Amino acid sequence: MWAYIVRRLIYLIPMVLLISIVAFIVIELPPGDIFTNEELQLRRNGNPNAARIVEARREIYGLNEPVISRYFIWMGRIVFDWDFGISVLSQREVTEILRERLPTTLLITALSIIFTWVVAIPIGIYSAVKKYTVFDYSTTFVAFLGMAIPNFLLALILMLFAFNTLGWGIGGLMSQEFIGQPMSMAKFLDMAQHLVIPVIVVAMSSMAGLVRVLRGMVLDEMGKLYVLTARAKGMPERVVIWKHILKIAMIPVISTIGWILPALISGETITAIVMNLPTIGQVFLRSLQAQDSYVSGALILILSTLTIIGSLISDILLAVVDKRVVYS
Amino acid sequence: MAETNTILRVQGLKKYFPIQRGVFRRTVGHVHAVDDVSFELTKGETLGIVGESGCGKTTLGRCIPRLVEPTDGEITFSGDSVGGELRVQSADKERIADLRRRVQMIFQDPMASLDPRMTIFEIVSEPLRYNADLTQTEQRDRAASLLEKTGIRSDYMDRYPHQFSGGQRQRIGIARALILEPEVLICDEAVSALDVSVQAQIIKMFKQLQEELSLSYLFIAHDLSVVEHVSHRIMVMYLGKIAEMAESDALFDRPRHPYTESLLYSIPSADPSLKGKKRRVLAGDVPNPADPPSGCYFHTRCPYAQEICKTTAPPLKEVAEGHHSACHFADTLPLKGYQQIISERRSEPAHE
Repeated sequence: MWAYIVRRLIYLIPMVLLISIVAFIVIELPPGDIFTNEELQLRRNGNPNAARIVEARREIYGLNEPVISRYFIWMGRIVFDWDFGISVLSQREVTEILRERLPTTLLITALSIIFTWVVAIPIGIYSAVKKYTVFDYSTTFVAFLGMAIPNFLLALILMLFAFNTLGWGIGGLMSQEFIGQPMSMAKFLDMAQHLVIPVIVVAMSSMAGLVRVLRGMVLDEMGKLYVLTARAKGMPERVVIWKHILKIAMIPVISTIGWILPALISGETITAIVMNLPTIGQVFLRSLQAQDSYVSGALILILSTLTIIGSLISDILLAVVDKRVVYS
Repeated sequence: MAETNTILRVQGLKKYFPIQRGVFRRTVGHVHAVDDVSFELTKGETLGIVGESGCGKTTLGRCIPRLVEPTDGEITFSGDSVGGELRVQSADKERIADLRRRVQMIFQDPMASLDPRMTIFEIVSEPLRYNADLTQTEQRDRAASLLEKTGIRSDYMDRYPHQFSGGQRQRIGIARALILEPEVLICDEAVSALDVSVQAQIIKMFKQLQEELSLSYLFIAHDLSVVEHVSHRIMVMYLGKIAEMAESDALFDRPRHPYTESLLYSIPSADPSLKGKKRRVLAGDVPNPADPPSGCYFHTRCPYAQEICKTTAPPLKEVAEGHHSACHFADTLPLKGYQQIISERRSEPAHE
């Protein structure tokens, strides 16, 4: 098992390198470089030092070097100084933007994944075990509804409901009065309240799919002979379901972890815009529109690395569930 | 003391599967998979159950450990370990768990009936983890000794089912069934999926195990020739009902039901002198069990059918000592035994 994990970790290195090259190409693709715009801006403002300022910056980021060295300078800064370059759009360091946005994004993402699983897995199993009952039909109905309603619409409806009926503060990560305040119990509760709707909205679409997939898998496995064998062996029904059936039924859940991570981070973009949440998705979208190459490059690098890590996690979990994977 | 030797008594067992149709899944009828079956199994005895596909023998087998919920009837189980009797019909969860410890099943398909994601050790020892208080080492020893007993090298214990052949997997299934030291083994077509030489080995093993552990078997098969080797008594089923039940020898020598005779006719023979000679084959298919024929279920295919057979269902009655038959003419029909059938076929002119 450990040999398998180590082997997979070693495979990770060339993959990450390859991705960094792709991300670098994305940065390099637009004509000129990221300072061309800035230089024009400075000139238009009549700054006599425009050329010198920009030249100095180019020197810092090694933009006068040949392509290969530029790649290594870029990577070197990321690896050794944790410096992803600067955003021309906001005139800030990319690292700073990440530091500001990434925790929120990861928080919403993690909460959504947990919420999705906590709700979808038991429902999926239960509606398979009690198939063709009222419970099964009603969850199926809600699941399809959740799949069909666009995220932003659901976000709007829930916000309206929360504001009108519950009197919650909505939009953003916290109420106005807490912005810039140190963490306190009141601030924490306020944030928690603000997170409820985003988490539900982000979780809803993946939840619906998961319920259906899980129900199908469990139903499929329940008819298999080895399940009958397990019952005949005298295993309690709970062991039959949780140990024999779920091992297989969980496979689609586990194998999607790989893309759940990046999809949740970039997939909440529309929700984030609608709800005015400071997440990465919005930044990513803007950077792509404005050719803010260091930002988009950094995000591509991070999202792709997350995909690879996610796939690694799911592969390891699959091997835990089905040890035959390790041997073949 | 014959009474105390009875380990399993089944009385009036019925299993009807509803047929549901239409938008509202209205029940429009029932398939009578097992229809009023009664029998007894004594300690150390093997009862063979034969019949065509769909005659209810598998359902019957599965009803006993309540893998299938019977519609009606009573299953009484009395072993040495528990003084009292265990009535399955009214059994609660705990009693069913106890029952499943003492009645184990071996299934037809050794490929599908082992969880492919568990090692052999895990498969064989799993019942121990929930039913016995043993350390890991004790579990391994127990599993190893059973695997050795069934002819699997115990150092293969950490392999997965796909690394074994069909015959080996069936042996693993048997080791698994034996680990809780059951009193009754229900072998549901346990050798049907195996080739003939392996069948013979496994059957031999069943016999050895029976002697060593004084097990009782319900041996379900569709082939009389397989059942003959292991069974003390044989029950012939047709459309969910018992057609005939007798000692093996009696059944083969002097069948009392035309259906049994047809089954005897259908046994293939390796005798070269019978080459090219026609076997009498039962005409037609098994009638639809959802809509069985009137009177005697077998009258549509019976070569001896009379008027009465179409209208009145014959009851199962004892026609000789320990020999039960559900035929109106059980006493009068000149039905041929297996030896007679063979010699009759020998004397026939050869067909091309």
